[in-house]
Amino acid sequence: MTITATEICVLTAALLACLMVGSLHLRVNLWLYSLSTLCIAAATATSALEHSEMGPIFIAILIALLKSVAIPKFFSWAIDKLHVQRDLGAMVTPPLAMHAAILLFALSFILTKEIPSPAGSVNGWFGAAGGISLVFTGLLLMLTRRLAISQIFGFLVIENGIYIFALTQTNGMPLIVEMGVLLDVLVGVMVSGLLLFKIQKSFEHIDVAQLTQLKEY
Amino acid sequence: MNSETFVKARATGTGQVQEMATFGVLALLLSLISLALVLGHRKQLKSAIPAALTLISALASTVLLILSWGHDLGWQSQTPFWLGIFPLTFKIDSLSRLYLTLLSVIVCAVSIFSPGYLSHIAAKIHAGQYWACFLVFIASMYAVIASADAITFLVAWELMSLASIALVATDHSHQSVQKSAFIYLGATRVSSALLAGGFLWMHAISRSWSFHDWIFNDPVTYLPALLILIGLCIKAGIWPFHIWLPYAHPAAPATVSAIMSGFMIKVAVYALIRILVFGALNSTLIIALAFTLAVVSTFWGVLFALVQNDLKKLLAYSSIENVGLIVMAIALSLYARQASLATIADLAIIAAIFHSWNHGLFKCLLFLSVGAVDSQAHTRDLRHLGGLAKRMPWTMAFFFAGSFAICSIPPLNGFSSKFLIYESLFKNVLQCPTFTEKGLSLAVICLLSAVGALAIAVFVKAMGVGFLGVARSKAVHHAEEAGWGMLLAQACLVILCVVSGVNADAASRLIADSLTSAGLKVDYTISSVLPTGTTAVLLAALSALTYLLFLKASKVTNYRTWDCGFGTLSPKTQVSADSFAQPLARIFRPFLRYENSARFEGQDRRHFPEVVTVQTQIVSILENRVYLPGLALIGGLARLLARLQAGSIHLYLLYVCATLCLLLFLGMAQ
Repeated sequence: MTITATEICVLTAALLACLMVGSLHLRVNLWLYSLSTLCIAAATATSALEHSEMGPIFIAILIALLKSVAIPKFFSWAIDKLHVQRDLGAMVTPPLAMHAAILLFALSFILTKEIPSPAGSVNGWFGAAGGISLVFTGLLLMLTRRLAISQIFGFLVIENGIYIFALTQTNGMPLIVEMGVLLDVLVGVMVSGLLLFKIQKSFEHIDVAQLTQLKEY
Repeated sequence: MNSETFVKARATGTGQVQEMATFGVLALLLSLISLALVLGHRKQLKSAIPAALTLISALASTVLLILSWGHDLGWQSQTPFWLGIFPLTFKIDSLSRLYLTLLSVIVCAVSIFSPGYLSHIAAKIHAGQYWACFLVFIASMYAVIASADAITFLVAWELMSLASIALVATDHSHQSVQKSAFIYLGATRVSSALLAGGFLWMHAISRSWSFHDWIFNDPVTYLPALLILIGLCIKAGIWPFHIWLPYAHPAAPATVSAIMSGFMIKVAVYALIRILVFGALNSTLIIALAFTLAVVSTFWGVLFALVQNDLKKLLAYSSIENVGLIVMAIALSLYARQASLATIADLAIIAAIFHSWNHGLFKCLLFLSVGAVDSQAHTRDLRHLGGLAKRMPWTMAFFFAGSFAICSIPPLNGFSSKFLIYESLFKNVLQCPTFTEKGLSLAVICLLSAVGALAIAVFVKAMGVGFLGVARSKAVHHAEEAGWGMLLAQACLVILCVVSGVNADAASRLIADSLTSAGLKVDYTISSVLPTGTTAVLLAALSALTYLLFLKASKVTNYRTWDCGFGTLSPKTQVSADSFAQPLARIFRPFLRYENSARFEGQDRRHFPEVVTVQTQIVSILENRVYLPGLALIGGLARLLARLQAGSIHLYLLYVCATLCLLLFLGMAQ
């Protein structure tokens, strides 16, 4: 079984995301996220080359610029403003969580084996596995962290996973849809950044483990 | 309301008639909805206008229903006016015509009664909302009776339930009214759920939504039949699902409880006949269950009616008794049909339909009379009433007529239908093959006669304590005769009660013909002529004789009662409602649990209490032993479930993660 360049990029992105779970330093997390997203941009570009279309190249450049440079820059600025450097960690210690993430990475290969690959696509199984693995990693990141800002990182990783899944399971999405998705992410990040500052202002912390009023009963 | 358009929509007609009917339905529905919307937000509203409109449309539908007698009318909605993927299908055959006519008559009476009655409670209700709900309620009842398939039926049924809940909650500033509305809401939810389950199941079996195609003669159809039966029994108020009735009726305005008791519970009876009797249910077990529940509810209803002090509660329990009688007759008919005793089956089903007609008329009359009393005396509690005979003679006369009818005194209409029920039971004793069945039928006859006697006691109590004697409270002293509208409505119903009682034979034949033309072969020729006339004459003669022999001879002397030095006697020394019922209630102590509570107030309350309050009330065994623990159990389980919602974001994320894993695994497993 041959493995394409796109798939290599996707799996690298998934593994880099797994590493994110292993560190509590927010800046390290941001660097890893940036690299992982760069891999995803590369995957988009190689996929475009495989299909010999030029449109997605433009998208790849946009992803690289926005998601792997602008968004980390924004959060780096937010980290300075909020005076937080490290997450506190919750439930599972980071090394253990990282190994769990790697296990889930393996598991996602088993889970996605049966997903029928689309006609004419060359990135069936491994691409889907990478996407699902990213979703799992993002969820794990959200589960094992206490700070609201880490929750946003987890969310961004999930978003990457969904994007990868869509990229590898279809024969390329229309340009306008991709741009819409990118815009959504950007707006989402801005809004969540706003909420971060709001939470900090109202509660004087951004520890979600202490926010336990979200129930009716 | 919209039945007139069904009349236009004759299935026999040409395409032009169909088109006209479609426009007619749309126009009427639109006008009804717009009327409801316009009225909906006007708090101060003269009730005369909507009442007049309702009266006109009810009269028109009565006339049109009678004019088109013998023709089946049908109408199916065209594409844009579907319910999703289902057309609205209506069909009026001769069985639904019988019930629709009853509904039109009741609506006529109630709309004559409404303006006068509502003006007395105008301060407490939002007139616009009341009328909006009222119109929707009536229209939906027409639709339920006229619906030909399960989906249309269920939609109209829900509309009917919700509108009646809103009407029960008309005076929702009182906590007791809120409680009643909630209990009723709960009952209707359970009923609708069971019905929907039964309907879906039957659709899965028969691949059809039309009631016409549902035949319940296969063992696989017995469970859906049971679901449908219980769902309808809840609405009809059959024991042990009756507890909503004594709550909902007193809470609602008299006009609403008149329609609810007079007709809405008959809608369930109609559905029983339409679905189970026409579907030829032949499961002995289910029929026996229906029969047992019905017999228990006749007894239970009359027993609890005996000890009620609220007149409306008393009437509500008596409705439970009467619906029990009707359902019993239906069950008997089903049983006889599957045992191929055709005469009994025919007689019992005629009795059931005739009794639902008659009960509709006199129960509506009684509720309206109580409404008139309530509007004048501002209470319907027997402990505070009394002496209304001098204040409201006409209302008294109408109430007495209704009471005579419900106690089946000939020549009023209660007699004829109850006679038919008895006759079918006696025939069953003579014709049925096994000894146990004979014995059971005899036992039921004995029980029914006990129930009849108790019913007389109930209404003697209501008439005697409520209307005779001296007033027990100040409000009653100032009561005056009700307005002409209220009296006219009751007079119409009394006339109908007499007419339907005197022409009982013709009515029974009419019902038999209607059932035959609706598709159930029923033969009335075998039955003998009802002895209404003879019995009436005999009864009158006996009464006159008793009067002459025992009562007239006593010499009346007026003197002051020895008052033990306490001063003059107060009206409280009269026989009270409780003391009237006590001797009979004592016999049935295992069922009727009294609870006494006494409160002493004052400085030195041990030796010289200033105020002593003693209250006696009946404890509802069913409610305390079955329903409350059941509800507590459900509440406890719900609280356990609510612990899933812990408030922690991490936990919620874990749920998401687990769900994702599960879904992926399921996807892989396929």
